[in-house]
Amino acid sequence: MEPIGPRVSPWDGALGQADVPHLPALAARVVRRLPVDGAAISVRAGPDTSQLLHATNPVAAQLDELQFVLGEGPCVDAFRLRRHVLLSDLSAPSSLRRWPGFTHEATQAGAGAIFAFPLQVAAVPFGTVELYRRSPGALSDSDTASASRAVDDIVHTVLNDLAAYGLLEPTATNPEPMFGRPEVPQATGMMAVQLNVPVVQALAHLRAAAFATNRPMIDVARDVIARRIIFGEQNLPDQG
Amino acid sequence: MRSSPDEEPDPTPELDAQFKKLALALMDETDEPMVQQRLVEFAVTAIPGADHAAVTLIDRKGRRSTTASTDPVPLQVDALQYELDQGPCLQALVRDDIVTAPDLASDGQWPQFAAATVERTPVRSMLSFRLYISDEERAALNLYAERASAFGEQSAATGAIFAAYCSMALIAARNQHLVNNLRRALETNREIGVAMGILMARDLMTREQAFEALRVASQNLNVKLAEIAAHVAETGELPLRRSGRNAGTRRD
Repeated sequence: MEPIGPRVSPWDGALGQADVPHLPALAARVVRRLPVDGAAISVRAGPDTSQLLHATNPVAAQLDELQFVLGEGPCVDAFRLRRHVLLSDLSAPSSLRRWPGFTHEATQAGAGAIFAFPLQVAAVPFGTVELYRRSPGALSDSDTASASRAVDDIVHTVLNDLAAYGLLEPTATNPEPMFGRPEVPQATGMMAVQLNVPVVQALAHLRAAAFATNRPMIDVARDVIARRIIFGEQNLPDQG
Repeated sequence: MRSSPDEEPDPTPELDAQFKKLALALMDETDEPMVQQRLVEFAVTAIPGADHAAVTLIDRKGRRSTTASTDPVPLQVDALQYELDQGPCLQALVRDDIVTAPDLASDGQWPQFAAATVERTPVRSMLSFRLYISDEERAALNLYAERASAFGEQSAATGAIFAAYCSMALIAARNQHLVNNLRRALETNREIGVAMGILMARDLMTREQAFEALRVASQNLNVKLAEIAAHVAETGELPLRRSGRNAGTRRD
């Protein structure tokens, strides 16, 4: 795994922390075998609920995050449509038309092509695999086929690892297994109070703040939780 | 594939219909124990010679258990295997794909187990197949007969096909279960996080205090944490009571 982005990047912090021990080696193998420069694997339950499990480099992590921040992109579509979305040239007008915000930002981040595959079992999607190239270029049919096989391996690895580490099974001592990083929802809840708006709208504000300052949402969320950033300060509820 | 006239009649056409019925039954079944139950019930009707059937499992921690059974007889037999640490099911779990015990009354492979089984249960012969679920979990499909030499070539052939089918059905059920849990965990974690944030901002609580408040409310009201969280996310308040009992935990 050679780092492709800048060595020290704020997106380093966006790399996954969930315990899926067999995933990094598998992702590295996929990147080595296919004409791609990086991969990111996320689990998802919907457009506002996603968790990065692993990224092979900071650019791959940033491309994943951008789609969460902007609510659009090939992985969002691959999850929704339950099939792969192959984008061989981010500079093509069709890409800009389909995902105006994401296309621009992804290009800035250093991507030329991006390929998204859903993780799913019996047509129930639960995540995505994102592969990207620095320069534009299509996956051949045989590359696409081997990527699909790799995605099948990732499906089983993710499910087996999550099961093996008991992250998903409610138990008497842990009735609500916590999974992933809770900072974004926590910050969203705080902002809903601070701004006196519904939770969905608070999330939109958090996304906008991250986007405007070009920072990972998790960083902005941590600032909100630590009260280094307080939204709508004049509206803080009167305690007592 | 036709069997010679002096053997058992070719069960293939009937088996087709049974497999179809099983596939339809499993289609709507996402609950893993129910899938196992359907499989063992199917096994006794489809595999020649079988009077009872069960699925045994070794989990990641090496614990052995019988997870589905047509009736109490397999449970007795399996308990003897676990107790004596020997027997065909265990061998199928750890070593071989197919294990047979044609006559327990004169068996030399697992002497203690065979003797105990003949003494305490009606089972006289057994046939076990290893199932493939994952690297860490091993399972076996076990067939039990109340007469010796009940299982012939046809039983082994049909059983092997059915065991492969079982493996696939169990993997599918297990993955479905995991995916459902994963999606639920993602959703409830988000809701719990949002509720914590609301309490943190509104009542100037720390993260720990906010989680504790949710946990205490959940315990006092005997309502799931996720439901308490959903209430907070929706109303901005901790629920104070349920069925008239004032158990609110709001602390300022």
